[in-house]
Amino acid sequence: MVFYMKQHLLVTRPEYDYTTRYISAWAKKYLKLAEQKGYAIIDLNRERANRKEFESVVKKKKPALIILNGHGNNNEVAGENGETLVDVDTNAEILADKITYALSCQSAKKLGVKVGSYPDTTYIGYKEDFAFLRLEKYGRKPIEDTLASFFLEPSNSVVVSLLKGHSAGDSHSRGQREFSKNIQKLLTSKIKSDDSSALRFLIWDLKHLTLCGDKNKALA
Amino acid sequence: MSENSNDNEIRNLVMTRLETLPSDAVVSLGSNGEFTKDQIIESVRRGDENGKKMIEIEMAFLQGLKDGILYEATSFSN
Amino acid sequence: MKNKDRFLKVYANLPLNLRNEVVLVVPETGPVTWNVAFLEINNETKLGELIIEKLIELKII
Repeated sequence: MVFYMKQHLLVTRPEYDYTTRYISAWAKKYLKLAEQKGYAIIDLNRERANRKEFESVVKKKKPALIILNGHGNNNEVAGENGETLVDVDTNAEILADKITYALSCQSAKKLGVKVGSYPDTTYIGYKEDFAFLRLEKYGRKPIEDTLASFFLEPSNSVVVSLLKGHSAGDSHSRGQREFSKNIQKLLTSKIKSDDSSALRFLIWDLKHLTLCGDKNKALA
Repeated sequence: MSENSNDNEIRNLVMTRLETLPSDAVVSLGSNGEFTKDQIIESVRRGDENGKKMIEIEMAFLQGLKDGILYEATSFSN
Repeated sequence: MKNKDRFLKVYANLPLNLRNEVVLVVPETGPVTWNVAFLEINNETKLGELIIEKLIELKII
């Protein structure tokens, strides 16, 4: 008899301001795919996106893929209400031998570099602030926001690519390609100028999407 | 050109360019927070931390045009 | 006109819908788009000279 061990995927989804609510809502798109692909999903949503629970779950379940959504800076990524989940000086090693994708400002600058220095470990994130545009009228329906989709679809594409078994390097490239496709869309003469205001932020995000560590690492 | 006058010109340029943001757009600058169009323009005018970040983003875009950033970007999608 | 080629090189490479965007705010004249800048520079006006000078200072060309 062969026992099939489901791989674990851990996602943090704080929701305490519009930014985190948007990112959290858009994360549900790839969580649906993860479920279809048979991943065991640990969804640390809202108040569950706290440090105690995060550390405990990572230690117990040893997820192969960790997706960190939340505010951050050079040194850390935060959860609900800005509580630090992982930071460069105290618990960065918790992300060792895993693939992490952090949709979080600046964390690839220092935290990502440290995490990427561990063997068999990858950290994909942003070296600078992740900037995006949204429309006020979609505040309660983030998934319908077509302006925000220019940013969040490319971000999601990194996770989708990882879930499909592509390497971290290929998934990072996939994210770059999706940002580029949207940039290209906005450069043609048929786009409306409202949407083209997204260009400056898309170029910024593309420029700062970064991979640290093992680019060959992939989910089994 | 004095540094101050240069800063003023950059500030005016960025503020003018941001006027083309949709009126109901909200700019999320990550941990720095979220800003309506009027708020981000005001931040640029005041020269506060968020205004400086916005100037950085805008000038990176404008100054990158001569270096072909748009085509560098589109080369990823090929 | 000095440095006209620097401007034209950047302008020629701009996607069409970006050419209507403001590239400079000239004191006493106001906002100037890439297209307006092209007209002035291509016709070698005094304003065109000023625009080139400012764009170089701002490292836009």
